[in-house]
Amino acid sequence: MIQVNLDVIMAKRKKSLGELAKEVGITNSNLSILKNGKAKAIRFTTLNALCKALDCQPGDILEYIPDEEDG
Amino acid sequence: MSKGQRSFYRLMYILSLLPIVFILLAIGLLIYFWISKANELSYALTIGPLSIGISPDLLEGELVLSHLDFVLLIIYGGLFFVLFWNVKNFFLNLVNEKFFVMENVRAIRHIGICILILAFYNYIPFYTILLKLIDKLNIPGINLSVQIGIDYGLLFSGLAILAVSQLFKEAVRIKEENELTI
Repeated sequence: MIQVNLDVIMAKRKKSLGELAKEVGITNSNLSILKNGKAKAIRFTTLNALCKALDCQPGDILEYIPDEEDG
Repeated sequence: MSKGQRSFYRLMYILSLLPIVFILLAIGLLIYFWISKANELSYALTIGPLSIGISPDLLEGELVLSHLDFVLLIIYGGLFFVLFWNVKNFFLNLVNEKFFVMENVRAIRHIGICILILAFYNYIPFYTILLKLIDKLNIPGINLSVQIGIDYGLLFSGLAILAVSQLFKEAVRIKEENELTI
């Protein structure tokens, strides 16, 4: 499964949810869905804006964790 | 959703309420006849658009419906009730602008299942009653017989509606995925 580590990187950069949502150009609720791992997919444009706002790489935000179903 | 669309869905919702009221009344009457053991019923044989009314004095003796006949008829009414209840729920969801939701998938699936059951069950409740009726009817020159069968129209409609419910399920999945794409 893909784990979203947005909260970790947000804490490191000391950015609040509202602040980041404004910078990225998405709603607070959508950013919250992404942060809580409820999202089913992420657009490249969103990922691009997140990396820009947080000054990081996609790998800092997303992490692959092998689970039993994936074998 | 445009005003015209909403009005149409509302009209369909109201139209789907009418059969529900009618079915409940019919079931109520059946239960009344069952309990009161009233036999003053009139019978009509319907062949396509032709209906032949049979007055009780044409019968040799009384036609008494058994408990099983009433139970089968009430189940028949119950199936129509479930069918129209789901149709009503479906249109109510459309009026409330809930289109691609799992509730609608369930409603369509239940409608399909009811129609499929009715395809096989359609003749069963009337089979034993008609057998008794033609046994007591003696009209010279007319040979009556009762046959049991499958309503193919309902069978194919039911299967088609079940297929639509699967399509709807897929649409709901895509819609949810789309909504959760950030």
